[in-house]
Amino acid sequence: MDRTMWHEARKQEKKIRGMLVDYKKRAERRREYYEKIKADPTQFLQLHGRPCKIHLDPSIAMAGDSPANMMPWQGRADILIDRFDVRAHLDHIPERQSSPEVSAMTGDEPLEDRQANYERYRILVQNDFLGVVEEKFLHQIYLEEQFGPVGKTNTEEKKKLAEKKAAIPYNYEESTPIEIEEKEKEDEEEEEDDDSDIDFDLNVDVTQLGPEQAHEINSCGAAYGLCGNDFYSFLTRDLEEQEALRLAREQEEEKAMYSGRKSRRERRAFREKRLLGRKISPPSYAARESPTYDPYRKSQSKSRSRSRSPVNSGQITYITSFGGEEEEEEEEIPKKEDSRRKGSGSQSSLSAPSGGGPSRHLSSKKSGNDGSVQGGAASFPAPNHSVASKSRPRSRSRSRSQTSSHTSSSKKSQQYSSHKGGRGSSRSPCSWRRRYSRSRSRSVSPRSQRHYRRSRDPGRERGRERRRRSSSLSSRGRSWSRSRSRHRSSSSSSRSSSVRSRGKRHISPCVSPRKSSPSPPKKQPTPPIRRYYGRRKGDSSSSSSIESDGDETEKKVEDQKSLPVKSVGTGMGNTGAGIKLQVKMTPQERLKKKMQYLLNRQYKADKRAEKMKQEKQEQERQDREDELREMAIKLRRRERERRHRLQDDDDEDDEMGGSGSVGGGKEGSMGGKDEENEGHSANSRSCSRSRSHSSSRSRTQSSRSSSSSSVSSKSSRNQQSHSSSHGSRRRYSPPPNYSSNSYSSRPPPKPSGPNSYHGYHGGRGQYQHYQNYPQSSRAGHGYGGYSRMSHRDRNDYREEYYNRDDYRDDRYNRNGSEYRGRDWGRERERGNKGSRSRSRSPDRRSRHRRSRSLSNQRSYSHSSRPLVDY
Amino acid sequence: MGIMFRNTFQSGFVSILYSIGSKPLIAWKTTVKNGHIKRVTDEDIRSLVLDIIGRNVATTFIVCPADPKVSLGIKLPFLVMIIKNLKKYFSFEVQVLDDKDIKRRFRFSNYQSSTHVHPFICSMPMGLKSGWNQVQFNLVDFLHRAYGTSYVETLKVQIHANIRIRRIFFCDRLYSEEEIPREYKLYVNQPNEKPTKHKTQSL
Repeated sequence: MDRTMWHEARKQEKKIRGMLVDYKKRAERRREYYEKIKADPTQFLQLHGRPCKIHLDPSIAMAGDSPANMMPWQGRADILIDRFDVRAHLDHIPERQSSPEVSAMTGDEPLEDRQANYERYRILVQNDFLGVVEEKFLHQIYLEEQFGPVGKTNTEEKKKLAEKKAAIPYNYEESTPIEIEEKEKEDEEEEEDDDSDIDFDLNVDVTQLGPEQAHEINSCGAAYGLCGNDFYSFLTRDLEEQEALRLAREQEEEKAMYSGRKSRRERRAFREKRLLGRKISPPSYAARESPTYDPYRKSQSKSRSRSRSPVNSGQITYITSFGGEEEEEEEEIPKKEDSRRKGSGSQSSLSAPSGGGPSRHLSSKKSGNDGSVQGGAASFPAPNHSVASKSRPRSRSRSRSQTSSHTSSSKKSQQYSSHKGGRGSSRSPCSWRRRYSRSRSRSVSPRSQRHYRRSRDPGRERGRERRRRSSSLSSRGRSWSRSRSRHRSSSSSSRSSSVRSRGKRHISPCVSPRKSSPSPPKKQPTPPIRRYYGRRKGDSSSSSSIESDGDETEKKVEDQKSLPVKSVGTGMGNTGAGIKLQVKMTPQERLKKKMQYLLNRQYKADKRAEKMKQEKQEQERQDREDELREMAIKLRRRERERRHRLQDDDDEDDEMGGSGSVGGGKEGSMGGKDEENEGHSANSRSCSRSRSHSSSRSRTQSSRSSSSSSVSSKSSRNQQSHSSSHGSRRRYSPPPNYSSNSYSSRPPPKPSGPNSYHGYHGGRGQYQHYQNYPQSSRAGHGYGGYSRMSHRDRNDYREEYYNRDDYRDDRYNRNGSEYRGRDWGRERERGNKGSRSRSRSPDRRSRHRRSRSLSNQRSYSHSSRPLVDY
Repeated sequence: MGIMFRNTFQSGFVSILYSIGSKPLIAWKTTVKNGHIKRVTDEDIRSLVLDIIGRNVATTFIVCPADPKVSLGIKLPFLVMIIKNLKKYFSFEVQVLDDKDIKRRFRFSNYQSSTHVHPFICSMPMGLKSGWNQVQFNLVDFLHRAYGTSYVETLKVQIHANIRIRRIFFCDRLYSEEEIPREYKLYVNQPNEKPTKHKTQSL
C-alpha cells in the first residue's frame, strides 16, 4: 500500500518535473524566436508598393478616358485637368520657369541640405565608388526583400561562414577598389545581404579608406549634392553614430537580460554601475563658487554618506567606555533607536544643549584615555605581558567579589527599575542625572582612590592628557546628549543587573598593562584609541565603525582647538589630518590643567574636611579628658574632704586618742598612695580612653587614609563622604572595567608610583571636569544646572548610600570573611610590596574592618555625623 | 511664403499629378540632368504616363510646388502614388510640417534597406513590385512613428528619377479599389482605340 502510494507520488513528481522542464524549454524557444525577429522599431518604417491592378475591362477604360473626367482649368480649354486636380483650387498657375536648371546640385547648399543629401544618396555614392551596378544592386535588394527572411534562414549558417571567410578579402578589395571591380561584385552583393539585416547598408569601411579612396569617394559624392569631403566626413560621423547606437543597443540588451520582476536587484545594480562613473554635479543650491564653502560641503557630503551611522557608532563607543563593555552593548540598541528617532529631527535639535551632554563626554573622554594608554602599552608588549599576568588573578578575584557584591545590589537594581518606570514618561533631568552621577562615580571611584597616593607628576601628566582629550571630545558630546539621556533610563536598569555577568574578566587583563608603562601613552595618543576600541569592542561590534569614530574624535579635537567652546553643530570644519597630533595636544593640555586644578581643589577640600573632623575628634577627646579630669578632681576633692573629715575625726580622735601622728602618717602615706592610685587610675582610665580614642582615631585615620584613597570610591559617589566606611568600598564595587583597571594596572613594585596620584586625579578630575564642563561650554545653563544637580545628587546619594550600608552590613557580616580574606590577600601582597600609601597596613585595616563590621552601626553613626555636618 | 492650398477645402481626393490631360506638370518644377522627363505611353496600360529618367537620381527630378518658397499645404493624410517600377534607382521625398512646426523630410529610396531617422530627414527603404504599383504613404503614421509628432500638412513633394508616374494624389483615407473613382484606376486602353503616341508630349 505504502509502496504503491510512494510510486504514484514519484510518478506524479516526475511528471511535474517534466512539465516544468517543458515549459522552460518552450519559454526559451519563444524567447529565442522573438529575439530573432526583434528589431529596431524604426526599421519598420518602410514603404512598400503593392501591385496595382490593371483593369482590362474596356468599360472602365472608357470611363477613365472619358472626357467627362477632364475639365478645363479656369475655363481655359487648352488646360484640361482632372476633376480632382489640385489645380482646380488655384486661381492662377504660376508660369513655369521650367528651364531645366542644372543649378540644383551646385554643391553650395547649406550644411543641412548637404547632410540631407548625404542621407538621400549615401548608398548611391557608395555604389558609385564601389562600382556596383545599379541593376544588380536593386535586384539584390529585391531578392532580399522578397525572399530575404527565407533565404537568410536557409543559408544563415552558410552565409555566416562565408562572411567570416570573405571578411578579410572584402576589406582588401575595398581598399583597392580598382583592381577588384569585376570579381568582387558578387561578394559584395552577398556582403550587402548580410549587412542589410544589420540594418546598416553601408559597405564602405571608413577606417580602411586611404586618402585617395577618400578623395575618390568624395568626388563621387559631388554628384549627389555633396561638396568637398562631405561624404567622407559624414561617413565617419555615421560610423561613430553607429558605434554609439551599438553601445546603446548593448545596454538595452543587457537591461533586457534583467527583465522580470525578480531581477529588480540586478537591474538596479546595473543602473548603479552605469551611474558609477558619472560625476554628479551638486544640486544648484549646493553648488557655490566660493572656495571657502568647498570643504564644508565636502564634509557635509561625507557626513551625509556615513553621517548617521558613524555618529551612532561613535555614541556607542563612547558610552561603552564609560560604564563598561556590557553597558555599551546594552545601550547600543536604545541609542540606535534614539538616533533614528533623532534622524528625522532637525540638526539643531540634536546639537541643542541639554544636560546629558557632559555625561557622554566624560565617558568618551575616559574611553579615549584608556584607549590611548592601553594602546601605548600594547606597543610595548613585553612589560605589559608580565604585568598583565601578574595582575590577572588579582583582577579576577576582584571581579568575583564584585559579582557577589553585585548580587547584593538587588535592592539597588530595584531602585533603578522603579526609577526607570517613572522615567519613561516624565524624563526629569535630575533623575537621570542622579543616576548618571551614581553610575559614574561608581566607575570612577576605584581608580581615583588608588591613584591618589601615587606620585604626582606622571599622574598629572596623564590627567592633563585626559583632560585634553575630554575637552576635545566635549564639543561632540552635545549632539548626543539627548539621545543619551533618553536611553540611559533603559540601559541603567539593565546595567545594574547585567554588569556582573560578563565583560569583567576579559577586560581586566588587557587593560592592566596600562599602569606599568605610563610613558608610552603620552607619546602616541591617537593610534591607541582605535586599537583600544577595536580590541574592546572586538566581540560586540565592528572595528570599522570604531575606526571611523576615532577619526571623528580626532576631527573633533581639531575643532576644539580652533574653537574651544564651540558647539558641536557647527563643528564640521575639517582641517587637514596632518596636524592632528599637534592640535590634539593643546585641548588635552588644557583639559589636564583644568582637571588638575579641580583635583587640587577637591583634594584641599578633602583635607580641610579631614582636618575639621580631626579637630572635632580632638575636641571630643579633649572634652572627655576634661570631663575625666574634672571627675578626677571631684573625686580627689571628695577624697580629700573625706580625708579631711577623717583627719578632723582623727584630730578629734587625736585630740581624744593621741595616735594621730601614726594615723596621720599612715593617712598621709595612704593619702599619697591614694593620690597616686587615683592618678594612676585616672591615668589608666584616661589611657584606656585615650586608647579607645586612639583606636578610634586610628580607625578614623585608617578610614581616612583609605578614605583619601580607597574610600574615595564611595566618596566620589558621595562626593565628600570621607569618613564613611571603607568596607563599603568593596560593596560598592565599581563597574568592572574601572575596578579591574585600577586594581590590575597598579604596578606592585612602585606603590607610591607616579600613576596613582594621577589616577586619582584622573578619576576625580573626570568627575570634576564633568561637573565643570558646562562652564566651559557655551550651553551654560544646561550644564550649570547639571552641576547644581550633581550637588543635590550628592546628598541624595549620601542618604541612599547610608541606607544601603545599613542594609548591607548584615550582608557583609555574612559574607564578609570571604571578602576580607581575598582583599587582605591582595592588600597584603600590596603591602608587602610596600604600597603603604593606600592603607596603613593590611592587618590593621583588616582588624579595624572586622571590628567595624561588628559594630557597624555605631561606627557609621559616628563617622557619618561629621559628614552630615560637612 | 505662399501656401497653395492651405485655405482650400480638402476632402476625398486631391490629385497633384495626373499624367493625362494637358500640361500635367504645370505646377511642378522639373530638373533634368543626363536624363529626361517626358510623357510616354506605357505599354502595359497603353496610356500616357510621365516618365522620369536620369542617370543620376539626384539630379533628375520633379518637385511641386515649383516655387521653393511656396508650399503645398495639403492636409490630407495619405499620399498615394501610382507608379511603375523600372528596376532602377528611384527615390522620392515628401516634406511635411508637424505640429511642432518643424519640417520633416521623408525620403524613400529603393536602393536602401534600412531606415535612418535624423532630425530633419528620415530615409526609408521603399520596396516596389515589378510593374505598376500603388504606393500608399500614411503621413500621419510615419510622422508619429519617426518623430512622435503629428501631421499638419504636406509642404512639398519631390519625385526623383527612374520612375513612371500615372498619378499622384492625396486622400483623406484609404479607399478600396471599388471605392476609388474610375479614373484613379489603372486600366488598359482598348486596343481598338488608336494607339496613343508612345512619344513624348511636350510638358
